[in-house]
Amino acid sequence: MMEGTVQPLHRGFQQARRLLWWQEALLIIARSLCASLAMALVGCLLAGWRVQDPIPRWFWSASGFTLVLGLAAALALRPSASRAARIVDLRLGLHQQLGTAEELLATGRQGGLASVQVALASELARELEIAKAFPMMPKREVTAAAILAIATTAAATLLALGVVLPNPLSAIHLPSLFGELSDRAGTDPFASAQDESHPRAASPAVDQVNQMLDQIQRQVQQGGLSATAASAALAQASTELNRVAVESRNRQEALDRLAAALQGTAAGKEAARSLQQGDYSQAAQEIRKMGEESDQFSPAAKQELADALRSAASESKDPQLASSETNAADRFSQGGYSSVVDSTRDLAQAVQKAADQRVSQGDLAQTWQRLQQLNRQLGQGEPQNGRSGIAPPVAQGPRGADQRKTGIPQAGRPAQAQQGGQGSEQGMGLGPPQAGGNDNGSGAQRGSGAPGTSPGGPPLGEVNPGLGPDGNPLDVEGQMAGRFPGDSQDSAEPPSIVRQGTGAASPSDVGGGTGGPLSVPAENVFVPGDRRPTVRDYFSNGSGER
Amino acid sequence: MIDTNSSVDRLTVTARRIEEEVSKVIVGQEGTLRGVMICLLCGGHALLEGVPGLGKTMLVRTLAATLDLQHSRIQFTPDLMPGDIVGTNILAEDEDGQRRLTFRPGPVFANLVLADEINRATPKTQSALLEAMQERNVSVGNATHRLPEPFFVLATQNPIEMEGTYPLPEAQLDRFFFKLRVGYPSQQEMVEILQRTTSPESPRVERVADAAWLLQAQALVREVPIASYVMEYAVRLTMSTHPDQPTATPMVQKYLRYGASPRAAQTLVLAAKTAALLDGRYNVSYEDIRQVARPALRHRIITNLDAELAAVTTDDIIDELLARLPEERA
Repeated sequence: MMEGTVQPLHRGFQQARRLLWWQEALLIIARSLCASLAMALVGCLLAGWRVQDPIPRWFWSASGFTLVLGLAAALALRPSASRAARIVDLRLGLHQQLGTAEELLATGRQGGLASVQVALASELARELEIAKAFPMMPKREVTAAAILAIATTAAATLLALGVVLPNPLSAIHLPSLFGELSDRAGTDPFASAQDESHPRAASPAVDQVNQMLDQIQRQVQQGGLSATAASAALAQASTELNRVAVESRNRQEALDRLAAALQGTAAGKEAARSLQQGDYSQAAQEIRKMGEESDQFSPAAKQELADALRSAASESKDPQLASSETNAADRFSQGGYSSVVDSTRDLAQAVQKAADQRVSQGDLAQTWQRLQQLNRQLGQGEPQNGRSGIAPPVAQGPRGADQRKTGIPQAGRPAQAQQGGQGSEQGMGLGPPQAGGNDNGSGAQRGSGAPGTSPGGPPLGEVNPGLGPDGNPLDVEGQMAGRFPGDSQDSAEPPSIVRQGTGAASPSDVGGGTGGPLSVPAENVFVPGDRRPTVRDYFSNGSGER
Repeated sequence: MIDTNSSVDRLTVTARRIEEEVSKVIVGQEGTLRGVMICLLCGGHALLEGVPGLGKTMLVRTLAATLDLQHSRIQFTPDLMPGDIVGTNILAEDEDGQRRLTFRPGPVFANLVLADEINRATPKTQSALLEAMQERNVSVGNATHRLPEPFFVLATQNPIEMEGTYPLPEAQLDRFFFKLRVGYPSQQEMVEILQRTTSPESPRVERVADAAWLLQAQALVREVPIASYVMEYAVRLTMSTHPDQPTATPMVQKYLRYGASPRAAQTLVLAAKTAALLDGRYNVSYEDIRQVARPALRHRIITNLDAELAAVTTDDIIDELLARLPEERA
């Protein structure tokens, strides 16, 4: 076959190969760009939703690496002449003429109709506009990349402005995606699985505080709030958070007392066990069952239950639960069967409600972390004399499976179930509320949380001198700063607050925050006016030191 | 190259003239006529199926008239014997007055044999013709007699559901290159048919080709190049008719008992080559394979009882295969 005859065919194949390379390379690059932008968007959204903030560096690296990988794959492309010819055939409707000619040339088959076919294909290639077979613009991918780019830019801009994006997943409890930050999961895989199987919505009370913080942040960014006003608003949010924490702790203590009381009765052991295990739905069922089977109880057993319930009610800090306990106790003492059933149903509902209204430690810690960040942004976190920041609220979260299993508190868990935590409140008079005793586990756990090791803690049921007239704890700048995420010590989690000795937390012990400079005296920001002299006296005469 | 090119040109021009001559008598039925032409150029036999009165016999007779070939017609009836087709040894006197057995060829000894209503004869008689179709020679007594070249059988049959018919066995059906279904004409075609057949003038058909041309065309068809990936497509199409193959579609798995044989793949490729040439191309495309898939496969795949109950035809299954089978392997 004459070389000149097939020259246009070879040229056509080369052109087709080149165009195919460009087309596929652009497609791969566009798709990798889409993937990269999608990852970036996910990162921005996770940060904006506060699911994960900050996003780890490796995530951004992976996002960039996707694009690099796409470029490398595009460079590695080597489309064959056969493939290029077949694609031209298919896209231009050439009835496989070029592909057949390419194969005939490659196999060296000549003569007869094969030569005619190659000659005709060569003539066709000479007249053909091969570029029409390779549209360079991958429209779908470019459109997707443009949309993703706009969305990512918008999300990144909002993130840079500090705007909190509405989280559609907020109803679902999401553990931290990038690390071992889920304190409830801890190191116990069983606990992790069990907790994830019962996702828990964030508390409305904590959501309310978050909304307050959002509002403050927006107003500060828009310049509609002065530093003083912002500080005051932050203090109010802190107070609100503390209140939520205290209420949560009170509910947990009430539930624990009910468990302890029922533990000593024959008929209430099952309910007590469920309460101790943190399975409050089951506990509610057991309590209902207890009422429904009360006609089989002896008078002594009923009286025993009545006494236990009264005992629990007398020390309960949850009024609703206490009322239900008292009512049930009265019915067990002197009521008929139906009234006992009704009262135990009411008690079961109260137990369930109290359990549901508790706030998880994770929610509190996250909100507190936000509060700290806002505080630093406002330039109020500068440590002064080793004190800065806002005290973290620490409440008893839902009873973790770690305690269910072992009864031993997890290392690094924040003041959970440690009575000693109250020592700081008493000693400082301004400390945040700590979760109350929740120690139903082993002796080791009790040892750390018992009043004997925390002499600063007030007895249960007594008024905590660290609380204000309304029962809310007071905040003081500098307390606990540097002990939580975001503070200078880079601690991943809020530490356990266990005080020994006097129970008064020393600023040097817990301070050291590295927030921004204070524009106003800290006590003016966090301490109500009528308490400021007391606070100043407290720190000036050294009684606050250990 | 020029010679080859001119041969191809002569083939396509002649084939087109044959079709034009037949169209003088036969109205419509272009698909059937093209199928018959493909069979003729491939050296294969065709089975035309349709209800009586659709012009099957007329088509074959007209085609024979356009070709300068020796042709014969056999009307199959239930009392037709094998000897009536292949011929028989008779006792005859020679020039010396001696009597000896002499072979008297039957109507099958022709270039173009029209086997009319083939399914009206008994299986024994059918098999006599079908053996001749396959072997292209006839054995009578101790002598084997070679059939003339080219040898081409055009058989017609009524749908097998009709009374008084003997369905052809699958093994014998496989020997037909194509099975062509002759459908009803459209209203416009029907008017044209009436005008042509009820007027005093009947169209005259000219002879436009002879046996030599046909043999040359059959040789030329086999030279048409086919790309390996197109041939692979034909193979995949054939293999996909096998219910036990992983590539079988759900319809194939549900309704087919047996798939197509390798002879079906041969038919697909050869018929596609002819279709390409008749289309004025020198290579086979996917479209050519698809074009010939129905007549090449429909009598080579065996449906099961479920298909009969669901009124699923082999054409339905082939259509589904063609729709689902990708041209290029992913």
